Amino acid sequence: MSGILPRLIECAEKANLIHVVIGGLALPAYNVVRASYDVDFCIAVKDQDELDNFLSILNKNAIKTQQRPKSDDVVFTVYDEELRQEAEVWLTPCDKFRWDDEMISRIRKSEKGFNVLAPEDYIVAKLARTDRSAVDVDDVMQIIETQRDKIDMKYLSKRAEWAGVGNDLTNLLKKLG
Amino acid sequence: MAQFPIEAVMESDVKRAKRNVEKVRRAMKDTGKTAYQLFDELMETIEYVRDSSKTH
Repeated sequence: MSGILPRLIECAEKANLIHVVIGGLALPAYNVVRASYDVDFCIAVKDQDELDNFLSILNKNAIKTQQRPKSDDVVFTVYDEELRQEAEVWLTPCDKFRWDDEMISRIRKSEKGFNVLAPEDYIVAKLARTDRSAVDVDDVMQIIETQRDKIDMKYLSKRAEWAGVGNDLTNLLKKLG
Repeated sequence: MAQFPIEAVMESDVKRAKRNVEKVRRAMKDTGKTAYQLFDELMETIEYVRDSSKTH
């Protein structure tokens, strides 16, 4: 693992934050492979102090942001001045909802050593996002196919209803057959 | 911002998604590589092609 991601993980560990990799880099954890250059890193902060502490650790490691993120924001961009690489740091797995305890308890480790969401939560985060694209839907279809035997359908349905995408999930499952 | 509607997913999209899943599944089985190893190879290939096209 190289680039900005291990440095972000190290900073999150130092700040004692729960963290996961989301976006395209997380897909192989569900046995889905598609090209992606974007680094989407997601942290869970309880309050502004925790976020400020994380920002200060990032800053000490030459990872800067030009924004002034607030703990109830959705996402901010950081730039690694040493590696000249950019990443998005999300404060919630999806712009439509925030973290909750069950989501956190289902986090798992990928073979790369970084944390990812449970497939059910990843699917719902993709389906619920405000700017959901055709690529997001394609990712979801492939995850459902690869994880068919492993997915907790009861939890997936409950989570999809909760996020307001119950019908979308049902329709997609019908199309997949 | 608009969401891509599930109603717009065509049968061909479903078939393509299933085909991609099958390709990865077969590659993992045939090579013994993990999905992350296949992903790393894919990205290396893309970078190689991109770099090559810059010099030609």
